[in-house]
Amino acid sequence: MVVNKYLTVIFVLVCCAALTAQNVKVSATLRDGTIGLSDQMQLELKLSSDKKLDMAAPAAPQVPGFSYRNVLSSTGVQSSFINGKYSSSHTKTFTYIYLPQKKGMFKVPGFRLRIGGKDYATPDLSITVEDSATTTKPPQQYSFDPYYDPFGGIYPDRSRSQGETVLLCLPESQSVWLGEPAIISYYIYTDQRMDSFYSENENDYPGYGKSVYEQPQNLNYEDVQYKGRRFQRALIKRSAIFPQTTGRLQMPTLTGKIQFSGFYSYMNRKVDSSPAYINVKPLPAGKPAGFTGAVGKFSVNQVYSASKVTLGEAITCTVQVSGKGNFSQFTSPLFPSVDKFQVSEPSVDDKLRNPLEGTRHINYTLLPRETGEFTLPSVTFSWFDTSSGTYKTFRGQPQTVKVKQGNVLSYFSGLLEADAPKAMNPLLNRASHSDFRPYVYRTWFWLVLAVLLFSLIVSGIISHNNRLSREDPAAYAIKTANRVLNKYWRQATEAASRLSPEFYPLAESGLSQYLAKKFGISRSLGTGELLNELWQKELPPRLIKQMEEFLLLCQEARYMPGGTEATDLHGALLKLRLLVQALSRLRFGNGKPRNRFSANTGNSLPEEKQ
Amino acid sequence: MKKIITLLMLSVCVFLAAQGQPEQQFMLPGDSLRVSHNDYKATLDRLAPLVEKGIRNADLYYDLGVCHHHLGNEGQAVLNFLRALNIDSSHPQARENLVYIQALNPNLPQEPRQPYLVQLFLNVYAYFSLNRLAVMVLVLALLTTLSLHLLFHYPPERERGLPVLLVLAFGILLLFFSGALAVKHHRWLHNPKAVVLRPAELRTGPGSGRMLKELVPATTVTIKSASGTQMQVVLPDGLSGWIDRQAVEPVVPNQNYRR
Repeated sequence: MVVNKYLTVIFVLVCCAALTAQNVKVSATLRDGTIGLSDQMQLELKLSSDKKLDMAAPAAPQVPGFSYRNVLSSTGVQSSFINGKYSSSHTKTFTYIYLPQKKGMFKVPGFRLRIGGKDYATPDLSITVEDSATTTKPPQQYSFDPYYDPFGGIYPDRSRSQGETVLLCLPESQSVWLGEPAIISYYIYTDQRMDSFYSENENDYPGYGKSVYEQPQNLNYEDVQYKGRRFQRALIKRSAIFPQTTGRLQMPTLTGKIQFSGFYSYMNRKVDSSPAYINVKPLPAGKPAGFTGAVGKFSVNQVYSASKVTLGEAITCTVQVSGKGNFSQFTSPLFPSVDKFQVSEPSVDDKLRNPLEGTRHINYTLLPRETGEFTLPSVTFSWFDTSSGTYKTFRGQPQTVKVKQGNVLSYFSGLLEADAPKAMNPLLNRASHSDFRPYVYRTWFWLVLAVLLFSLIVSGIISHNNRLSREDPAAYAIKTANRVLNKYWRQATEAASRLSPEFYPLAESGLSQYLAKKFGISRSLGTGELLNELWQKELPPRLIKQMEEFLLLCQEARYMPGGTEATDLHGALLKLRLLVQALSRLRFGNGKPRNRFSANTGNSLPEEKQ
Repeated sequence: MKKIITLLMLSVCVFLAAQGQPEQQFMLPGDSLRVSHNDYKATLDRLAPLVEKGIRNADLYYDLGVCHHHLGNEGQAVLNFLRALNIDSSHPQARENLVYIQALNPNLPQEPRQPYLVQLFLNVYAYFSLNRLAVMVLVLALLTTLSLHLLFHYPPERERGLPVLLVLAFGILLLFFSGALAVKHHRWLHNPKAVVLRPAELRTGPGSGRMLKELVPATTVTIKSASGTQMQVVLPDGLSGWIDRQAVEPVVPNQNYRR
């Protein structure tokens, strides 16, 4: 168990380390495996990583038979987008320069490095030094080495203090269109031993804008013919010029200082670039309506992010402009007005390799305001094509978009609509206009409220009765019995007032139901059994006697021939009233009936008034 | 009991059926009921008699406002749009047209911009028109009643937290919406807004006060009180003063203003 835990922890740590580790590759190479005594040995140590390498040059290895002279470093970054994923590769190269001291075969020991807590090692290399050079001169040399003479092999006999060095400004093209970027290069041409060049100043002239196109770190010489002579030249700088006016424009002049080294001291010389001009042609007439100043060689396409969205989601329309041109000079076209959508201002995302080349993404965000199916218009992008000398216009494909309802909240969309309307809304053209009467003035409104209130009252009463029957069943039985008694009392009274013989069965039925509800006595019992039950329930004797008399009276009236006429209906009603009053006053205590008058005294009942 | 409930239900059905019958319609004269898009004057002539008959209808006021706007009567246009909104505060076209007229006339006094939450509340309050509030009150009354029924008949052995919570939540909402309904109803009857229909001077006192500002037609004011031929009003930007009564027309006519 413990081992498993440790393994898990170690695995997690390893994974974390792997995720955060810097992936570094180290290699060491010799530019030439065989050199002459007068050549240099160049040992290159190359480090590449997916992260930026920030390190000093490692110590130069001691190589027997060679004297160490200098180390040069250079860095490079390569960025790429593959399937929408950005990746970059950083490279750092250290070039160690050695001078051979004698002939023979020598071993160049490898490097031992520690980068990011990890050790790296390169294998040992071998080099052979011969009497004379067997290899051609390297195409690039480094003038940073104060002991190195790039012209040693070319002009072995020349004087170091004589010669010619000029700074030239060379436009790539002598004639460009208005807005078309022009690239100008500043080269130093020399047949002297030159150690370094320092840029001091750059004088500008009206009519253009500019940006740095290329700025090399080293002076990389190449052989050229100039004025019928053989020269070495090195690129100092390249600039991109954006003409803003037509006509003949003078290019910026560069001023710098060249340093030569003598035997005992350095010599400096100021140098100005030669004046250079370009002719700027005006753009031809007939600019398209959507032309925003783009000049170059472009390819354009348009992409909508979705064809189905829910209300509240945004759709992105991206116009992709790729190629070479004045990316920094033209603006984005506006999206055509589209109803039912809120359209944002264009946002620009540039992926440029240099100021002139690359891809620009122009993004428009569209927010639907309503549900439905809509056709979104295409975006139009116009530019002046420098290769054909004509205006070109790109028109994308319209896109059909289905906007569906998103969620409950989207029903309230437009609640905070803040956009000012662009025009007066039109007439509604209703066929008829009814007089406005609020719902609160309608009968049904108050009737619905009354029904709700009534239902509450009914529900409350039912709930109260339920609670009573649950919490105090005896009290509930009394309540319901009294209700029954009152009901039959009313019916019997009504029958008596009509002098109807129905009085007796109603009175008898009411009494039996009351007793059934209140004391749980069966309604099917005869009079004698009923009275016995009442005795057992310990009802007041006087009350039992009175009830007996009344029940007998009822039976006489109902079953004896001529009984109805023989009995006094009003007297019977009076007896019933006294009986009901006595029963109503009867209360229960400890499971036994308890009259508010004393049950034992026998005089608790109200006296019959004749 | 059953008989009473049956009778009540029958009564409700009868009343609802009576409400479902079409109300008295006030048709426009002419063969076609459709108003012309272009001839706003003719449309105005046909719609104005309906208002004189006493018809109060948000769409009618809205159409009148559109006609007045196209005929150049901005004051009348604003007045009719405000009347439409007084009847139906959620009338979207009337609200947008008011904003549009405000944008066309930047010299009209502007209301100070409210904080976001206040704007949100006002928009929600406007969304619930008088009738929407009434429906909300009915719905909440029904929900409160059902919650009370649930509470009344909830098994006594169970915890009563849920029904009590429902009763409280719906009860509070019912009170809130009932209050809003009462306020909106009062405002519908006694809306203090008025519109300046002809150029007028806002003065510090009734009659002969110092002039504060010249008011242009279509300016919306809030009436505070009236005295003789003068009215004390407050402009949307908070400036208060007295103005000739004949120059303004209240959104709700025939009101008795406090002296």
